[in-house]
Amino acid sequence: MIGPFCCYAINGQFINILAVGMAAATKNVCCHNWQALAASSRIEVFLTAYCGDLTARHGALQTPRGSGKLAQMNSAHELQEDALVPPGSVRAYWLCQIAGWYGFAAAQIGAVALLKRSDGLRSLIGELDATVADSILDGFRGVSMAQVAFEFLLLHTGALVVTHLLRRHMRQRQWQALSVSALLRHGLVAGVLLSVPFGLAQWVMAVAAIRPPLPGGPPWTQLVLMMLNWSGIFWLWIALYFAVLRARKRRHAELRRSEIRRALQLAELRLLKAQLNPHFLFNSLNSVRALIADDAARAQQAVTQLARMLRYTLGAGQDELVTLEQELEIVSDYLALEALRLDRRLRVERDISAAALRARIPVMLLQTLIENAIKHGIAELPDGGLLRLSARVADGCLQMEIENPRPDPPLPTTQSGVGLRNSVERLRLLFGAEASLEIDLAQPGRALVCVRIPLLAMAA
Amino acid sequence: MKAFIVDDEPLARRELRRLLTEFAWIDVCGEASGIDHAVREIEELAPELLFLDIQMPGGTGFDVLARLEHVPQVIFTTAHDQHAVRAFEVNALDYLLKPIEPERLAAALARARGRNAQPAPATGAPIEQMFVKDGPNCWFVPLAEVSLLTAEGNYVRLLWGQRQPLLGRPLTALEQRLDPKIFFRANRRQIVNLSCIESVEAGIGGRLHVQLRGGGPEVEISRRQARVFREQTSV
Repeated sequence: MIGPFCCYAINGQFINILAVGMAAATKNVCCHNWQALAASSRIEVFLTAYCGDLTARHGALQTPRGSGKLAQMNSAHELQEDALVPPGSVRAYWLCQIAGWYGFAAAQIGAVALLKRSDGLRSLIGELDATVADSILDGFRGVSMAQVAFEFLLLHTGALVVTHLLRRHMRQRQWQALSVSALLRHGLVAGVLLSVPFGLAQWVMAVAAIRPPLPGGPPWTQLVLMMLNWSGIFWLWIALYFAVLRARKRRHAELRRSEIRRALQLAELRLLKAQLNPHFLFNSLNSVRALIADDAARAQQAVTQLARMLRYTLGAGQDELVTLEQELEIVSDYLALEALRLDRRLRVERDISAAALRARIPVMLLQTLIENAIKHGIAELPDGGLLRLSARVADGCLQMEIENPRPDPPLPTTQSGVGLRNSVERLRLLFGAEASLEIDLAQPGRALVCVRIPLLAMAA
Repeated sequence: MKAFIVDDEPLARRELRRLLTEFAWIDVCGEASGIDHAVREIEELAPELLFLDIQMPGGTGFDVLARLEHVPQVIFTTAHDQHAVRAFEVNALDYLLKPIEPERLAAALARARGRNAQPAPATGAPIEQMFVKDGPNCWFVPLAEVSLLTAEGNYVRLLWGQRQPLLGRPLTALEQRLDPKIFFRANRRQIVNLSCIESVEAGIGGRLHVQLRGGGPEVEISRRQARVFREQTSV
């Protein structure tokens, strides 16, 4: 019983597998275009959304927040990916559906026509099982090719519609998020359920003859075989659908990763440029050049200070904490170099308690604030002004104040906000709500920045 | 050749002066550290060559140029300013990056000397070109190419080809420095370039309507000025 059944089932499935294979091939070819189209639109969306964001955020003196930022971008992108249906992929989907199902129908119609006409093919099948071939031929006797074609086309149009509805259902229920085992379960059930109406429909049609009942078995075996056959087709369809989806996903993930990497590299480069402060750097070099002739000792000192600053800037890791004392050394070097350029326009007043010197602060934080105070404040004033820096420990916190005069009204070209906003963000990420950075511009012609950092950082 | 240095950094001015000692034919007649100071000194000393820093407290070197009546030859000096470099591309002016390389300086000075071979205009002579700064854009505008000047409050809107930059000074002040052979006062608000007129039509009450070449707006010549216009151009 099992022997003939298997032989029979394989025989019946043979044509189907051929047809589905063809459909699959079409699908694979299409899916490359599909992916390429999806990828190109993806890149565009990505570039505009994230590079724009990155360049805006990393424009001035600031720090990238490596992994956090990356995760943020990933999740944001994920959201967008679902909302985004690349126009090309919808077309490719319908192309695959139509070509697959009607190609399948055409193959079956062709197979029946061949069977009816050619004895050679009959003998080929007959070699497997002569009785099966005979019973198939018997079944088709008296059935016109027009009817065969009509019935197959009707069945496959139905299958096309049903699989499309299935796709909609799977998308709504988020099947792509299921685990492999759950997906297998769902897929098996869906295939069997869908095979019932199709098996029944085919059973009452003339084309039921393509799958005769088991030799010597009762007539309902024909229905079971038909349903099995349809289940197989739907399983194949579901498997193909998810294979394509998975391949697309992987491709997208790869693209996304490389794009993010490129955007981050760009951001890092900009950051480095901003930290090096080219305007300051070249002006300082110019000052040194002038000093070499006039005051060689001062020139030597300036070169040393510049070298120390560059080393500190280049070596600074973003999440690194340093003592205020360490940071102040670099700030002093910086101020000495600025004093060369600004001459009498820059006056500095420092009030730093001994306890504050041991407090730990994010590297380059104070330096960034001091640079801002000079760049957007004192250097913009023809008569310069007094930069006041104070630091003390109170309430378990390091409290720093940086006060400087600024042009009033502010110049339209200054964008002092970016570097400061970034410092605020950095503090929040490193210390949470306990740290703060407040900018007080209430008084015209004066800027005051107050920084509060918990001393817990000493232990970190 | 009289040269003037504008830079807010004393060391930078000293370094440039030192570099210029190599060129005996350059006479540094003065220097300034701020915009106001620079404008005053330049108007008074009338140098032929200007070394101008771009980033300065309270403004830029372009602001200095925009306020000058007679703009001498300019060599910009800058440490690092991408916006400025973009402005140069439009203007084809010379610029030097700080620290200044002696070879680059020599080349820039040689070019300046070549251009200076033409006789310098006498003081009080009509202006031939103007430096215009409008927003982020800067141009040297040859006045002969300006077809129409329209007063807008205390400013003047120039019609220069397709561009319409705004000039930061009143029309009456400008009028005295324009060549009367080329520029004609059409009405209270407008001065028209005679060489840019395409056609003239008689209007109501002895007024004239002027059509400019290149599709500019129609300009009305007031009755009083129409008589002068007829005499001057024998229309």
